[in-house]
Amino acid sequence: MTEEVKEKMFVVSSSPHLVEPSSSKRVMYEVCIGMIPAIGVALYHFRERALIVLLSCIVSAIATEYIFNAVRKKAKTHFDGSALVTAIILGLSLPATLVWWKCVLGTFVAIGIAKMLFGGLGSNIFNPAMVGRAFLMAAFGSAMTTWVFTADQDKAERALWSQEQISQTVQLCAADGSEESAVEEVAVVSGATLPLTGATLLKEDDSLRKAYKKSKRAHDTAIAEARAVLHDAEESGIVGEELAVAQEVYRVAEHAAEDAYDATKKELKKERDSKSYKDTISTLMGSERGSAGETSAIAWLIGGLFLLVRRTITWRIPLGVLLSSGVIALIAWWVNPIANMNPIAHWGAGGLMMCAFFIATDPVTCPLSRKGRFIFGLGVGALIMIIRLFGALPEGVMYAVLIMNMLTPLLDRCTRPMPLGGHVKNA
Amino acid sequence: MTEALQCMAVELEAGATVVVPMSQHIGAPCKPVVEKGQEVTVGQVVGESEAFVSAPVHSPVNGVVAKIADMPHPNGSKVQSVVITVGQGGHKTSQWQKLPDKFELDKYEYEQIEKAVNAAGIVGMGGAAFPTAVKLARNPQKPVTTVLLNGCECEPYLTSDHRLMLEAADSIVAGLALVVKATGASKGVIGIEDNKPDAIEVMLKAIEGYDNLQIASCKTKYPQGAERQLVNALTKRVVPTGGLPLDVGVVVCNVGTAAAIAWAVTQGRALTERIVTLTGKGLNNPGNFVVPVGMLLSDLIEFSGGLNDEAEKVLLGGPMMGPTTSRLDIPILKGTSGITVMTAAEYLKAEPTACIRCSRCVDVCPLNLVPTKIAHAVKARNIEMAKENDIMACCDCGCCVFICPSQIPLLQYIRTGKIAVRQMG
Repeated sequence: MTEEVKEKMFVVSSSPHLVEPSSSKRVMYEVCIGMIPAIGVALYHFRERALIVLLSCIVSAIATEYIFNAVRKKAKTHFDGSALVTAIILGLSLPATLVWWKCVLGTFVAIGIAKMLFGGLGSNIFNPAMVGRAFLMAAFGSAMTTWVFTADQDKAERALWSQEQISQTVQLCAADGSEESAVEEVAVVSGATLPLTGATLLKEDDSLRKAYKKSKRAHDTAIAEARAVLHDAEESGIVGEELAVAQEVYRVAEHAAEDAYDATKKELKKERDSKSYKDTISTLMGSERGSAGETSAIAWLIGGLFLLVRRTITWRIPLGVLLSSGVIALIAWWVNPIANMNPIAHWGAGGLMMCAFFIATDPVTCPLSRKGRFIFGLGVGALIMIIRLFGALPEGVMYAVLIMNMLTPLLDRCTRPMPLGGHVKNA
Repeated sequence: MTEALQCMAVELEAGATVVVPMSQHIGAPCKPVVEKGQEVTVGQVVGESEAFVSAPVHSPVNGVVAKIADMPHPNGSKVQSVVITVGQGGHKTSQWQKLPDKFELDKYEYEQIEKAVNAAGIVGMGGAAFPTAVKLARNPQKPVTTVLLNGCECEPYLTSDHRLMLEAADSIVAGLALVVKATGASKGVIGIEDNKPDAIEVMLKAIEGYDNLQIASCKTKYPQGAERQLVNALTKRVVPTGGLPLDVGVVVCNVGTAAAIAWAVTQGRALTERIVTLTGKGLNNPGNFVVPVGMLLSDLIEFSGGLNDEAEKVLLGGPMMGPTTSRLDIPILKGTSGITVMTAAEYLKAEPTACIRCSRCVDVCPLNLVPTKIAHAVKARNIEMAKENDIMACCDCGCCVFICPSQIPLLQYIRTGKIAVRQMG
């Protein structure tokens, strides 16, 4: 040993001295990589519209984080990847037709209010992207529920239009004010007259369910009314031929109601059947109308599996979400296949897959323990299905996640793991 | 880091002096029983204590007592030690890995075993250095059913236990048989991690002829060699928090301790040498070495081949729990199982960032604690909350810091919190 080495001062520190080469930044960028398939599908289907939405969200997210840090004189965190993740999730959960400044506003609420005002990364209680989306939903309800056809569908539909119809529509919009709202107006106006926009699959499902319920109600009411008339007649003490007439009237009314109900059911069943296979496939492959990124379940599944393999996320939340939503959808479908969509279509439709792998799994806003995370996932899945089946809204991912976010501290408290060997006995 | 494993353990002679601290174990420190200028021989007692929980210390060399003074100790403070100038003949190495003649278990009675273990000053050689004779003392309230032999390395990088199993299997098995007999247990189990198939093979051969001994292969993971984890893995029993394996009828010994017991009982040999792993990228010649207890770290490193220019951090133990030392003029103790010398590139870590609640620390904690919650309670100076979250159950394994993607020094916060809890009383 040389003298030089002997004189060397060794570093002193407390153990452990080994760390895994990982960082929060890497975690965030891995999530972004996982979203690439969904981004690809969004860009393919909605072309430059999806690009504008995504870019507006990304640029404004990073800018918002930078500004908040600058104002509060905090360390710069705008490139730590978390703003990017929030921006992409928000962007992909918006309709591709949303005008850029609304995207910017939503992103500002997501990053600025839901995250930075709570203390920045790690301190927010609500999923920032979902808060941003909830804000936009409240502020611009109709724009947020206008769904354009995908590029392929659009092309096919437009081929059916006459040139005249198109020019009429465009003129109509141009006369109708600002440039910005033109795109939306095209969507709205032409949607009313021509099939440029349309309902999402879940909206269609909702409509069918409502049509079924309405027809059932009408049937029930009609029969009840007829019965009341007959009852009154009987009470009034009529006999013989008159009574027979009243009974006949009741029978006719009852038959009419049954027939109408059966006809509606048959019609609805026909529509279900005609759509069922196609819908299931299209939700999985992503050729349906919907938010920019939430059309393709397969794309999210691929990204989700990537995260699972990379161990960026654990399987408990995705499993919980898929399990509870699947079971509820299956029961609903089994009980009444006319009123309810099949469970596979439910899994594929809307933002469920995106939620299972990318939204509910946001580590900051979900519980810490394994058990807690599984329960969180079950809760999100159940709430999504409850909102879809019984709520006023066709889709429930956003509120399901926000509600479960509220329960996270409680779940953390109730599901704290028991230390191996039991709690420390405090003397 | 496995290159050290490939070669036979090398025997090293002591340097010019050895330092024998009076405290090398958990329990009462010894009092010197030699004087300055006195000649001592290998195995002669130089310090002992009347206390129940203690272990005598012996001279590892033939030589002369140079002085009795407070000398630097691996624990960072100065501890009363006997400094011996190595004389002619120096350290006489024995045929350390062999048992001399045919081993006959029936020759030894319980009292005889315990006495020999106590006299030899044997302590747990896995690192904790708990006096072994205390473990062997029979307690009618807590009968022992199983003796576990810990053949799982207590840390990554270290290979001394593995090496010892390959080279001294018969001694280890004899030691286990003696412990089983002494404690009155019904069986002895040797737990070996499944990444050591060669050791499993050798040990399986060594236990032939013993009906009550068996080998159990366990999953290779850190901290598998920790008592609590080992007991859980091999017996499915759970040691209560704050309790000992004895509470569930188990006694755990390190393989090195077992070998030392065999030598002490059959040959009356004191614990004056041990196997030490030298590892890490900062060393020129990593390997396993058999060295006299009391040999100075500087001598050990120099004799083994020295440090290279990148050496930045010297650990007394493995990279997960080993404390660092700033100086090398400290002795190897009975419980020193390894020395790790790290380079800057191995340990440099980034600045901590905010906790993203990824819960990886929760998933890896071998004791099912919630490290991030405890650490953040300590950070907020909320010691009550840290206590509620079982801060005192933490075993300092460091898994949470290893896994944390935000590079938060969770264990350092937890250690600070533990000190605060102890101060509160």
